[in-house]
Amino acid sequence: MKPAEVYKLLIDRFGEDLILAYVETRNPYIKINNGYVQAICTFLRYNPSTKFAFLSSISGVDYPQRNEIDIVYHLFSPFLNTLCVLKTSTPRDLPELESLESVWKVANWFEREIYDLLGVRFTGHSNLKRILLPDDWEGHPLRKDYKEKNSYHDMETMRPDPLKVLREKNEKSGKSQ
Amino acid sequence: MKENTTIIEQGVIVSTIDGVLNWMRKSSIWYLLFGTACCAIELMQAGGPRTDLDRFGAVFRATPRQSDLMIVAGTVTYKMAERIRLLYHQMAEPKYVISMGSCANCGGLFQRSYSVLKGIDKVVPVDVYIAGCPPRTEALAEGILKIQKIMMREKWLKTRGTKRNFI
Repeated sequence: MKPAEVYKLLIDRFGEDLILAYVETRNPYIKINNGYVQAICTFLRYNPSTKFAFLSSISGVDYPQRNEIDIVYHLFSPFLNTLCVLKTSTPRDLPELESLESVWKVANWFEREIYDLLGVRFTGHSNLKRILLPDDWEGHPLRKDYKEKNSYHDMETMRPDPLKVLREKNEKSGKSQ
Repeated sequence: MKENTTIIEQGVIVSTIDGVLNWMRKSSIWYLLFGTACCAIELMQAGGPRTDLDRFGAVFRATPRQSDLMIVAGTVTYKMAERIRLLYHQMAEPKYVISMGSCANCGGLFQRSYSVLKGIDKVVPVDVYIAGCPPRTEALAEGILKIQKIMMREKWLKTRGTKRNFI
C-alpha cells in the first residue's frame, strides 16, 4: 500500500481534524494531530490492509523558529513490504505526547532516547528516564539552545587549543614562530 | 641488564635489585582487558599472531587487581570516565597507562561533543600517548616497548612507599 493510499484510508477513518496533511516529497509523509498518535498508530498496526507491525524508528527534530519539536515515526510492514512516515509536532515549552509503548513494545527505548536528548515527555511510558546520558545530567543536548557546562562532576569539558598554547609559550620565551 | 657481570664457571649472575625487579616486571606486563570504542578492535589485532603482544610478555587479564597496565583504547564519555577512574584505582601499584588513539588523547573527532571526555589525562595519569585514528598495531607494540623502557628506569628501592602517579 502506497503512502497516498494510507493517507486516503486514514482520512476516511479519522477525518481532516486528526490527519492534517499529506506531503508528497521524495520520501512522502503524513502529518498527524499530536493528541491522537496512539489511536492512529493502533489503527495502522492492526488494520489488515496496512499491517504496520514494525516500528523502524522514532526520531525528534528541534525547530526553535517555529517553537516546536517534530517527532517522526517510521513504520514498516514486513507482510506487505511497505513504508510509511508519520510526523507530528509538539510545543517546545511543554513537549508532551502519548507513548506508543502499548502499540509497539520497542517504542520504549526510542522514547527514552528522545526524552534524554530533546526533553519530550511521553505520557503512559512505563520507565521514562535517561537512556544514554548519566541520570544526573542537566539539560537536553540536542536542543538548539543547549549550552555546554564548564564541567561535569570534577571533569573539565574543555581542552585548550594546542596551537594556541604553543604560540603563547613561544611569545613568553621571546621566540618568534 | 647492562650492568650485569656473569661468572660463567660458577653459574652466578651479579646484578642490582632494581635491575632484576624491573627486568621481571617488564617481561610480564599484564594489561587490563577492556576497550571503549573502535581502537579496541586494533587492540585485539595486536594480541593476534602478526603483532603478537605475547612475545613481550604482555597478556590480558580480566580483572584490574591483577593488571599492571591499562590501555585506554577509544572514545571515553563522561559516564564511562568515572568507571575508568574506578578501574584505575582498583589496580595495584606499580601501574601504567597507555592512551591509545586520538579520542583517548584529546577527544579526537568528538572534541566538540557534549558528552565526550576531552582526553583521558583529565581523569588518570598517562605514561604513553599513541597517536592515530586508530593507531596501527605496530604503533601499539612500540607503545608497549616505551612502557618497558619507562619500567627499566624505575628505582623501586628509593621510591618505595611514595605514590608515583598520584591523582
